[in-house]
Amino acid sequence: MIACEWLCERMAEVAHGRSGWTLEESAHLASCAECAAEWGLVAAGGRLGRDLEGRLDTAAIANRVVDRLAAARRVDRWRRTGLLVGLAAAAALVIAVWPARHPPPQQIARSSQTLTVPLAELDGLDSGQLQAVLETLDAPLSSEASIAIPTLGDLDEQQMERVLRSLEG
Amino acid sequence: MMTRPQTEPPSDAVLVDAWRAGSEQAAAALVARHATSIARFLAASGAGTSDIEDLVQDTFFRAFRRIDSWRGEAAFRSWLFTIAGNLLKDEHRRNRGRTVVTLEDRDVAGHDDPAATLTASEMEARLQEGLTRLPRLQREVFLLRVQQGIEYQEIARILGTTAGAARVHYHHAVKRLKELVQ
Repeated sequence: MIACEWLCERMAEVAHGRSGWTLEESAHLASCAECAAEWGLVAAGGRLGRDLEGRLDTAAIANRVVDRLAAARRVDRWRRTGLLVGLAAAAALVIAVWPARHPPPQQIARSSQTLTVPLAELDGLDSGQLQAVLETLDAPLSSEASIAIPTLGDLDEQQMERVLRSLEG
Repeated sequence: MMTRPQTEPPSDAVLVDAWRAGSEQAAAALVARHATSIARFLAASGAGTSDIEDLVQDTFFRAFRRIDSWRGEAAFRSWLFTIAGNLLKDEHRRNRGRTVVTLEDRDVAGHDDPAATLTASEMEARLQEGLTRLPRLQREVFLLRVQQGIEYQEIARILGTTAGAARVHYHHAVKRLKELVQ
């Protein structure tokens, strides 16, 4: 005796053509309305979209996919190259501009020595001496803080030459 | 009489490796192998007739572009169904639930017996209509099981669920479709 549940489990397999009905199963299908209804549904489901099999031009689809992939790879390469050129340009700019704006460490050390003023001694200075101390200090912080981002227009000829040489390799 | 030894076609995994190594021919072979299954699945899932080729193309394009995320636990074909299902979901979202399948769109499969043809085509048309009324998971489980012949375990991998849940979705789908088709 075939159980409906067993038969229904087998339906997808049969609909997909991987198996067939046994005589006993066929007899059950002929006598059980519920199973017959389900089999009708599953068999129809197995056929859905079969009409596409002859109509679909898979070779043309494959060609289009391959073309799109090749185009996408080209774009990736351009992006990577552009990024590298951009990074190289930025690095070159920093190399060219940095020394001009920032003195070497020895100079900083020397100037910091001249700025070493014991604060406690300031109380004993008259206004002329205080002015002299002030003159030894750098420009006010506010004007130092507004550092303009360097552009190619800020570079002198020598700096520009270095940037171009680094870009050209 | 001498028989020439038959050479097995390369497996999907072999073709994927070849594509990774830069072979466009391997990519084309994979498309040729699976495009029809994907197209049938998309068509039965409610994709518009005019959109099917584009969706198939997008499925493969996306798969090859993200090939590194396929690690081979699931079959390559199953992974394509996952991508195709997601693309269709996005498409439906863009169309805001507009039903894209019409019965008139569907061609009828040829058959020798006119009476049988009518019955079969009617059944398919009703089923197609009924499928559009099912929740997405029920519809996709039904199609993957019945149309593509995939086991519950693999369906679960495709849809990101469990085999038990896939089985339950299938039974709900069949029950509902029986009501809709009668």
